[in-house]
Amino acid sequence: MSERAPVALSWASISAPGMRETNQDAIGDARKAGLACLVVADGTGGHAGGEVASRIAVESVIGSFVGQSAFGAAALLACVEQASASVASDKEQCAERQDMSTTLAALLVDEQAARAVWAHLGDTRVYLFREGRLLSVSKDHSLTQQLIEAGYASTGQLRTHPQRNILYAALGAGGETPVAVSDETDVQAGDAFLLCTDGLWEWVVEDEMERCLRAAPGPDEWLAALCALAQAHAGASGKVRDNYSAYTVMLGGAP
Amino acid sequence: MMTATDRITGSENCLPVGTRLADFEITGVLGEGGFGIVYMAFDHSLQRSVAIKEYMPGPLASRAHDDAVVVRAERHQETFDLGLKSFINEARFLAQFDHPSLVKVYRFWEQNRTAYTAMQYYEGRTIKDIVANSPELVTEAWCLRVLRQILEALEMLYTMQLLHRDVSPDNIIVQDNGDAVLLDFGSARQIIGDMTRGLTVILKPGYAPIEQYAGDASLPQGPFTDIYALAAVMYFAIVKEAPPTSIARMIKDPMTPLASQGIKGFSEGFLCALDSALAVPAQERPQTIDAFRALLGIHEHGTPRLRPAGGTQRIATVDQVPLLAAHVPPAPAPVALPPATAINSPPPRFPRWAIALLAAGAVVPLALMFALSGEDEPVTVAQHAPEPVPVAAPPAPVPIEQAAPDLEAQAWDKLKDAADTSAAEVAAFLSEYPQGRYVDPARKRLAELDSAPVVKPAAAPVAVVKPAAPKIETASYSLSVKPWGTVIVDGKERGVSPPLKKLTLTTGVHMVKVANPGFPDHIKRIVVKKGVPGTIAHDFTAQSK
Repeated sequence: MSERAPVALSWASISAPGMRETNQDAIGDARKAGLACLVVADGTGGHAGGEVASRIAVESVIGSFVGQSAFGAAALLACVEQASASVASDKEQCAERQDMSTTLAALLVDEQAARAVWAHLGDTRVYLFREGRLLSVSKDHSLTQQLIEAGYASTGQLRTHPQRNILYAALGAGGETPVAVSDETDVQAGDAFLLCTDGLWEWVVEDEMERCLRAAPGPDEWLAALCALAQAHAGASGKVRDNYSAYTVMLGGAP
Repeated sequence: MMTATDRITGSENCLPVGTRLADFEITGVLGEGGFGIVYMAFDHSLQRSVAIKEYMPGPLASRAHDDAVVVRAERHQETFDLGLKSFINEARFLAQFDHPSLVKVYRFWEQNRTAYTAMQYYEGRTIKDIVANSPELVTEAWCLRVLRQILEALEMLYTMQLLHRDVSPDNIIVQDNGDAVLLDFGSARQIIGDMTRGLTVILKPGYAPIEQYAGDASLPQGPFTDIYALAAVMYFAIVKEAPPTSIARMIKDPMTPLASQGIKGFSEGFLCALDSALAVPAQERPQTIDAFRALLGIHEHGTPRLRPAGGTQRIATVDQVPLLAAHVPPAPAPVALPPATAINSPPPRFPRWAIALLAAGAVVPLALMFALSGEDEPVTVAQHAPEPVPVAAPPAPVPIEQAAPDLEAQAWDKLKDAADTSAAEVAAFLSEYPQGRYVDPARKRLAELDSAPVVKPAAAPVAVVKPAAPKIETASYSLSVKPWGTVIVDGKERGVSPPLKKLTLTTGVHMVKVANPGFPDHIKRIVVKKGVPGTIAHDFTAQSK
């Protein structure tokens, strides 16, 4: 174990309905015992099921985190699986919400140890940037992503494929796709995370995310720039803009 | 859907009991889905019970006081109309068929600003219901019976160049007498689903293969598309859980093959056959109904069960026939039936070679574009030589009972008479019909050929394809088994190796098992490509993991 400099997190967040009547996205964050946990979810389902599913999932993850406050891939996975069980049990109680489910992306950071781990299911994403460059991005559980990996579609189609809204895994949807959990990763001052629903990443390509990050003095400015770009692109397309939610997270040196 | 046990009182969207619709009186609600309601009704003119399906897309429309179905908002009108059109097209299409394993549509009509289909009422339950409430019924014999009958129904659809594309546990009823019936296509649901795109959709664990999701022509669809779904339904019946969606299975397959799940009461050969049909890449599945039957060991295909006389007269056919005639030619008659026969007799069964063309990628779009899935995405089974067909020909308001061509006899006739028959072709014939009537002469012929000087390589492609007979393509596989093992291909024993050194396998997917009583079985699925030799090697004594 090498000596690693602690990091300090700062973040900004947004969750907006876009041009839809309701916001089926939900976000939540908490700090405890030197750890920070941030969650973004995008629900789907009729009869308000989407709102319910994403809210239950976020509250459950945050609740588990506050309860156990442990760092690690196993700890994070346990939080997400608890959330999945909560969504499933609510479904059983309410016949109207049988079709509800939600995507989820969660980030857990240990500031003192400068370590991070993240998890996701569905197409809500976790991006990690280092020195202003994209270092990694979570892989969507989506039809399009699978078609691309199998060689039936090109990466250029990720944001344009007619069936890009089709997912094969989500909390509460059943199926056997496991929650994707990252390695426990060393992080350092200057790193940045972006957690966001498809309502944001659909309208901003990775180059632009990097450019906005490099120009931004802090997470608020980065988020504002991303939202402005997304709004401009969505507006120009003439399409109905979906809900969008995001956390921009910047890591500084510990004081 | 149309089952007595499901009978419930409907929601406020349902027509009340006692409502008269044409000659029918509603007596109950059998089922209510997102896009339609199925009623039980009594036909006063013919004095019998029927099932009536009403187009009622709940998300888009609701019931007005005068029983009319009205859209909830003006912007839904276009989607509603498209769904209505596909609902009617589906009824029209199904009304042409008279097959005991395919839902029988008596008539359809428009009323209350929506449309209705009167169908045969089946005493029975959906597979979904059976699995949920009587899982003990699901045995291998039960599965084979359902498979045999539903494969017949699909084959019947393919005579009209159409794929079903919605085979699911909701869509197959097993009647109380054990006979299975394939229900509707859910066309309206599919097209409305397409129209309301935009919101995130989560795929349920399910029954559709990858080519149905690709959404463009990059992945062709064919009989193997329905074969996957049917095998997935069987997986659900056996495991009591749907397989993961094919999309989730594309890269890193989370599904354990049935044959490896240690399922009791089911033979390995049967489970292997389902596993083959559940292969994610389309080309690894059995490509045709017959190929799937061969894997399942279903031999008695082609003799449709007789319908009980009297109970199921056709009612409405002639009135809708002209509407269809413009689009739907009678199935092509490549076996050179005289034209008069083609018009006046039942459509010939779907010829094997025409389906096989799909595998070769030769998809010739048809004029049959009123397609059940909506016009934006026509699905046709490849048709060879789309010659103009007399449009005026009334397509078949006649019963379909017809003896199937004797494929075995045809295949043997071809081999027997052809001067250039190769040993491999005879061997393939033997493997296809191991218990057939021509085994002895075929063996004799094979022995002659084997002893004759080799004129050409055994695996040379057949030079002339005679359309009347199934094309047999093979490849030679060498065996390397240590110390020895019994070689079983698709459940059929092929000999002990050594001394057996070579196998001739027909193209397609095979489950190969090498068994030695002192060791665990070695099971391998292989994909045989025409003329591409391979090796099956296993050393039982090698360090097992």
